[in-house]
Amino acid sequence: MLKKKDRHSILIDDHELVYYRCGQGEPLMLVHGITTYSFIWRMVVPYLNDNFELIVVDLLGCGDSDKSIDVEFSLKNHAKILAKFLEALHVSKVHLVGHDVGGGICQIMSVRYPENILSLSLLNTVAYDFWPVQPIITMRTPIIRQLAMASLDLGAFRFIVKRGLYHTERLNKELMDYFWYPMRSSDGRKAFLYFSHCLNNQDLLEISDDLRRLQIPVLIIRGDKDVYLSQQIAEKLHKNIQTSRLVHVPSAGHFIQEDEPELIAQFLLTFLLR
Amino acid sequence: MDDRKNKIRVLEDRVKILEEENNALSNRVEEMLLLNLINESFESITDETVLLQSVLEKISILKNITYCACYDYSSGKCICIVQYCALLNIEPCQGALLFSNELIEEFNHEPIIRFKVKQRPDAFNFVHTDNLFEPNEFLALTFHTRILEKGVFVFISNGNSAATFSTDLHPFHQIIQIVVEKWDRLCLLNELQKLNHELEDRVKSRTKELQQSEEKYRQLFNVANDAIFLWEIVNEEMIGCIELNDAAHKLTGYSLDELATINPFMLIDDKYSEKEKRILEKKFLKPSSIYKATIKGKYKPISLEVHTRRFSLLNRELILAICRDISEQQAYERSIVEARNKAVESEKLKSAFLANMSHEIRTPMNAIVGFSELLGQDKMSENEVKMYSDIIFKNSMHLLNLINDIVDYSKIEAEQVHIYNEAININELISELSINMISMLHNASKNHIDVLTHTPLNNSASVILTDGTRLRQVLSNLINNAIKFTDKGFIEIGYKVKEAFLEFFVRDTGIGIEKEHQEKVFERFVQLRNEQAVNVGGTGLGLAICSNLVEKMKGKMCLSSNSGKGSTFYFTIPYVVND
Repeated sequence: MLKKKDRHSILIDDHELVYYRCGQGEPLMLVHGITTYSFIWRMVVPYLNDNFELIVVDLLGCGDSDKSIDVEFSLKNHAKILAKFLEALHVSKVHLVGHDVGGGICQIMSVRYPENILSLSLLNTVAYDFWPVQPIITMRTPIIRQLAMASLDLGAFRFIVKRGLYHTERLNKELMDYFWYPMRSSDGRKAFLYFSHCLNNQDLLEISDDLRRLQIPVLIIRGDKDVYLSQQIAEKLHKNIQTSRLVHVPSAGHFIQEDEPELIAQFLLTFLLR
Repeated sequence: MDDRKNKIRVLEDRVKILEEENNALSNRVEEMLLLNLINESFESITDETVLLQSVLEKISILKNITYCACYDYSSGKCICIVQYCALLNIEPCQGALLFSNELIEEFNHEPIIRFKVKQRPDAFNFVHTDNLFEPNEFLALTFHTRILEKGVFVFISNGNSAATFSTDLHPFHQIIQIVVEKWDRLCLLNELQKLNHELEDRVKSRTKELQQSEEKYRQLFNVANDAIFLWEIVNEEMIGCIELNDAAHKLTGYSLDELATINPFMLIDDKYSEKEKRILEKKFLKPSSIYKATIKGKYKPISLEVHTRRFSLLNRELILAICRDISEQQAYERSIVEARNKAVESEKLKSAFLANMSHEIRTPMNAIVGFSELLGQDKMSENEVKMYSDIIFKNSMHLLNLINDIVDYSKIEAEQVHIYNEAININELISELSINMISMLHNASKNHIDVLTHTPLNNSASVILTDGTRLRQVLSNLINNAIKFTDKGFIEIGYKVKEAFLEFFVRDTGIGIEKEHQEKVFERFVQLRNEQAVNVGGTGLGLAICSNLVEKMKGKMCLSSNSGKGSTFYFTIPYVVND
């Protein structure tokens, strides 16, 4: 669980960034993806905070962080803001763990600031140009369009979340409340849509060569039941990055932290503490 | 190989067609979802600004239109009502869009205006700092509602995104129609609510006025000194009392509950005969009447003066009865009549007294004057002189007694008689009086009448505290009377001890007093006359004086008498032994 006593906020470029900081050890930053925020890590954190100092961040426009859309929410800019954020926290060396588009941000940080990154772990991550045009089989509607509709309708949003889970029976009111929380205000909806609007394949395509040259250890975790992101992404990353390991989790969907929190924590600990 | 390529091309075409169909279907679904969402969100909205904001946000998100706004151009200028801009941070982005006069003029004629921004760069100016938004296509749809004469929805797509407006504007018209309808409904609801409020306010103020007015009349009704009743009649049948004031409750003792089902005629006092009761009932039912009647109050009968008035109010037949308690007035009237009667009687008695007095005084005066004149004649024998002077003396004494009596009685009347108690030996007093009586009988040539006394107390116990002068006066008076009216037999004087009183008596065997006159004798100026009795003279004041004096001495006087057999006068005084 993320505890209120661990909650902090900091101004980066005049925008408030909310984060949780807890645990002892080498710094490890957990970066969420789109449609989620820090809450997605709440069940993973207890397994890691004995060995690492965890930094769980709400990206701009998400969770409790600033919702104003006068800054670009592109992955590139998020990476830049997070680098400034770590600098402000005086964290010079950090392990990165990213989920979904958070994985994309972490990839950019790894190639832009290689001297500061100790390792990179990617959970159901985006990469290259395999997203966000992945069609939804039933509706043939681009995922961004579906996200747009979902921002207006709890039912549609619930549908998206449910499709992202392997253990669909775990989708209770509490979990749905976590997901829906930013959509309750017009500002939250606007920031969310702006975020998806700013997503651009180009950001990740242009670092594909740099990724090949990565020297730090890389862990790729793939939930086999993720219907939103293609299996090819994980495979291509693993093929291109020499230092990478690929792990499959058969019993996990897109929101892998909800499906198998203990399992992925064990994978992370094995990878990071070796 | 060609065959295979052909097959692939056919399949590809087929896939393309299917994809297009799918896209068309998903567009339909999207539009339905949009309409559904818009309709759903309307249910809870009560304000048109919130309505527009919600609709524009949904259109912007679902149709992927960056700028959506609603303007009022009734005044010739475009005034923004609500706008939603997906790519601008500040909300609402007031003044972000400035229309050219030409474009505004166009709104007046064209229900739909649509153009590429590049083709008409002067049509409007979009003030923004963000290069994310590059206006691409402009779409304006005019509309009007009950309160908004000229309104226009403006949509501007983003040039950076590929999306442009579809050729089919049907969904837009549908949405606008829904919005306008809802808007009108909101307006009507607001107007209705306003009217409702006004009406409620008016009802409230009217109610308050009515309440005040009612309170005023209720107070007037209740503070009235007269008892006020309101009785209801249906078909000449009395239903009961429907209202009464505090004074009515106080006067009669009845509460409204007790009278609510009572026929007022049942309250008419039983002293009236059936015939009298009928008359009172008739009076009560008249259109208006004033009469006096006694009714049965809860605790006692009450004499009332009743004013009735019959009238109709709100289809009800009512009788208003205003009643005033006249018991006191009647008592006062009675006392006045009594006082008048007394005064008349008193006047009569005084005239009789004066007539009597003039006779009583004139007779001895005549004697005195006549015999005094005779004394003045020259030739008079010594016997004659003696005889005449005796007559003059007797008459003068009589006159003196008369005047004394009058003075005494006047004193009593004027409350100037005081009782002075002293030690008196009543045995001695009786003895003295009996001796005097013997001499008086002798003078009156009634020597044959015996004088008896009765003194049961021994000498030491016979000294009492009383007013000796007055006691002697009373006894003397009684003795004089006895002598006057007795020609044979005896006269006895004495007393008896009766508990704390001494009862004195003077008994004679004279002519007696008839029963019907016995009470009268103690009244002043009363003298009994009958054929047998000779005129014995006297003022008619003697017994009245005695009776009064005895009362002053805290005693009572009475008499028992048989006509022709004699009378006994008794009187008591307190027996206070002098220690």
